[in-house]
Amino acid sequence: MTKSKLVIAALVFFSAVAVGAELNFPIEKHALDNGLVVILMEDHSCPTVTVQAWYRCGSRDERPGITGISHLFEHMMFKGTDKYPQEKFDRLIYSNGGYNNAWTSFDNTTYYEVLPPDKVEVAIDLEADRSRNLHINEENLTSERNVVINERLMRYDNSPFGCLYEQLYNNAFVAHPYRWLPIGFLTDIEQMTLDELLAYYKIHYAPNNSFLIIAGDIKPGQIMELVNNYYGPITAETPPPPVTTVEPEQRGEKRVYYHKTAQLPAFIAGFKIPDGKSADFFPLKVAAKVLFDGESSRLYHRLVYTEQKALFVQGSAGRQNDPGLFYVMAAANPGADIAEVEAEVWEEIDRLQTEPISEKELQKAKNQLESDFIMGLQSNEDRAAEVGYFEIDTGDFMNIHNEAEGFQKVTTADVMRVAKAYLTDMGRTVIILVPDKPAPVKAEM
Amino acid sequence: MKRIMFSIALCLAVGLVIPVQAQMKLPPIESKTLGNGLEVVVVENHELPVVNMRVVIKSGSFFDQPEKAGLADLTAGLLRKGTKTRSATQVAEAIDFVGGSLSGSANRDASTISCSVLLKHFDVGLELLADVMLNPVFADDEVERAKNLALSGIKQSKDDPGTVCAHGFDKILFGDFPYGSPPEGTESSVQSIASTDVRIFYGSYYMPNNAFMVISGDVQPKNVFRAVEKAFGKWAKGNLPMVKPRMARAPQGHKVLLIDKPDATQTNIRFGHLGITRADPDYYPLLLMNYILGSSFTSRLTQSVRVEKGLTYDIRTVNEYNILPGAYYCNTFTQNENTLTAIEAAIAEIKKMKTEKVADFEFEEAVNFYSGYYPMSLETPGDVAGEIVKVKLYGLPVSYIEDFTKNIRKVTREDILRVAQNHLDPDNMVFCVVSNAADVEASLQQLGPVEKITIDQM
Repeated sequence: MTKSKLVIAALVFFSAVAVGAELNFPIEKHALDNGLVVILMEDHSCPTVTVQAWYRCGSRDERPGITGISHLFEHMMFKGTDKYPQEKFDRLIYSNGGYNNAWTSFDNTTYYEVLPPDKVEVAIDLEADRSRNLHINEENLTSERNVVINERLMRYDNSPFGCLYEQLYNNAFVAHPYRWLPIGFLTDIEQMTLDELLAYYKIHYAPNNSFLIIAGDIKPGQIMELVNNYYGPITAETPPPPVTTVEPEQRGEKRVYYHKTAQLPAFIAGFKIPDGKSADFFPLKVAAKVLFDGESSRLYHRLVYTEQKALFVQGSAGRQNDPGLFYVMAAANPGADIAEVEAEVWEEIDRLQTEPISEKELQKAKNQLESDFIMGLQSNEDRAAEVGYFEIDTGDFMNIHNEAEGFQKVTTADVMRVAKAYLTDMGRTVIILVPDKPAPVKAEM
Repeated sequence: MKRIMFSIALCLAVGLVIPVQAQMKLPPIESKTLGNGLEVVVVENHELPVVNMRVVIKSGSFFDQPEKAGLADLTAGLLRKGTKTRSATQVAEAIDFVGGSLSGSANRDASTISCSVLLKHFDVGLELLADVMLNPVFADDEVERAKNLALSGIKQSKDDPGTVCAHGFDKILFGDFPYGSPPEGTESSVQSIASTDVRIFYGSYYMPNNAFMVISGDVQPKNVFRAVEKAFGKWAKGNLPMVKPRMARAPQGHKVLLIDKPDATQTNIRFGHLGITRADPDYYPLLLMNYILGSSFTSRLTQSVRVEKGLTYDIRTVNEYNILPGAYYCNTFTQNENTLTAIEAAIAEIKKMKTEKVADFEFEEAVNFYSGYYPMSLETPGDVAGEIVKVKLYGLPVSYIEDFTKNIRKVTREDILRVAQNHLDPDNMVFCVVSNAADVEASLQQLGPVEKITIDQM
């Protein structure tokens, strides 16, 4: 049996002392010889355990022709193995009083089970087994392909906002794989082959390309015994090829008028921002709070409340492994002009670049960020996902310790600096939703 | 494989012996009724410095007149839009400054006003919550503003075929019974609401003897009761208006409402009939029956329509638990050309449910799922508060939470067959379909008479 290594000597704790509240969640990190990293978070306050298997692959690891393969593959991961055939797989989780699911994003694919504490072995066994022994064939690929096509039709093709979101990424990026969404393009979903899926599986689902997070009512020693038992015999693979494409600098606004049947005109826009390791995320998050969060935020107060031109306005700084987008989106009320709504959004962004926000606004934004951070740690699942995303987006989950302190240090000058550096006309991509009204159809009774 | 199956068997055996409470680990819960009749329940959870407060008014959109549907929801949303001493903007500034949230909305059975803050801002949060509850002014311009925003939201929701389908289904199932309109109302009903209607709704139903409050999180009950007494003690009792009891009528035969969306490449489908109430004694067997038929990922409907036939991404059956019987429906979506195939496959499974007892493995999975899942579902203070709201609102026994697993384990396979036979009625259902009518209308005629409307007529 391979012995796990405890990578850090002592337990570490989330510490948010700086924000006036001590949060004590122990986090342990272990590593197996085959490269699997195991993150344990012990907490006995509720009889539940979350097991999350994170794979360091998502649509970022795809190329034209197989866009959407990470997501389609996520579906195939529920098709069973010789040991646990499809019909047994989910039933085993549910019959043990648990539930499971998965999600695919740009940078990660994550599977999870939530089970009563004495059933945690079931999840570790199943995850280890399907990470190497998945049994997929033409027949189950055909039916699942159609399930995914239905998912795409629902989330994107038949949803005006889904279309806008997809258009934003399709147009903002030229070279980097963030150009397509994790769902992938329809014809790629329709045509990718079983061999392509199997090749993807072999390299991306190896232990050295993944990590486990096990959080909740656990005894770390016992858990590591189980992890060693089920994952120890699995061998490492040659790591997947690194994603080397760097998105070239954007030297001018891009603008698309997208026509679709819709009730209200709307727009979405994105600005290029740095990757998740950048310390500029702290002032960028403050900027987003000032613009969008709460009814007293600058844009809600102006466009939704005072002028009543917009139904909503929202936005945020998206933290990703590679440089991503700060997005803003708004829909115009009936009778309002979407061009005016857009122009006023740019006015407020210009204001961030030309005059410092008030100290009171800064403090409000910090209070909101502090509150979001703490409220986001209430369940084992959320806490584990937060830690997982720090690992994916910033390269090291330990960065979660700097989070509370990081945004407390932001100054009004920092907010002005990042607004000038990133929220520029030059690097902006704008998609306008132009509503096509369907031809009136005569109703029959 | 064997080892794991053995551990399941062991768990079953043990589950019968160990009292269920041993696994529940419920946090301390205390309650107190103020002099004005307001019951206050406090759930302690000291894991994080967070407090969640909610005041529940036991009157929701059920009390809306159909021509003014949306009134309860509008009223709840308007509470924070100005009090005797604060403008809407001042309320927004105050709650945003502490990083908290404050919002009100109504569903069919209740109007709920919630406030979440970090513990260090508890006083600010409670004071604001009491101010908006006790001293709202409902200024004309704020009512107008809220109406316009609601109208715009209703218009925009017509771009979501799932929402259109849900509303169309309620409309055809419930007719002019209050559940027939969505809690947020329709374009014409919201248009007809005046600010006096809002003030009258507030005056009629917002009173401590028609409300209760649940506070959960990092708090000490003694301190909370004292603070709530100070903030809500002066809320005056009142007399509730008498409401004539009414019941929805069950559908006879099949009826199809086809909502034409010529650009749709996917069809949204919802069909069904009336369901049972939350307080119905058949609640537990129906929960298990529904798990096996259509509420779980291993359900017969998911296995047949999604996994085997690949016809959809999601299919499920739902019983809407309300004070009065809501709907029991099946919801799915598929490519236009597969519409009738998907509906027929689903009906076949519903019919089968009524004809024979469920298999042992299905039954055991459902029982074990809820026995394990329910205690886990009460992880956060907000989760426990949500269950307490159900106990209060639906008049469930106080022991409901602790006895949940015990009650699940009392259900037999015979009970499941009985509730399927009594409550599933595939011969008498309404269907709502949102699609490009040109693609699906002819095939839908096979289900029953089809009424076709456009989205704008919704």
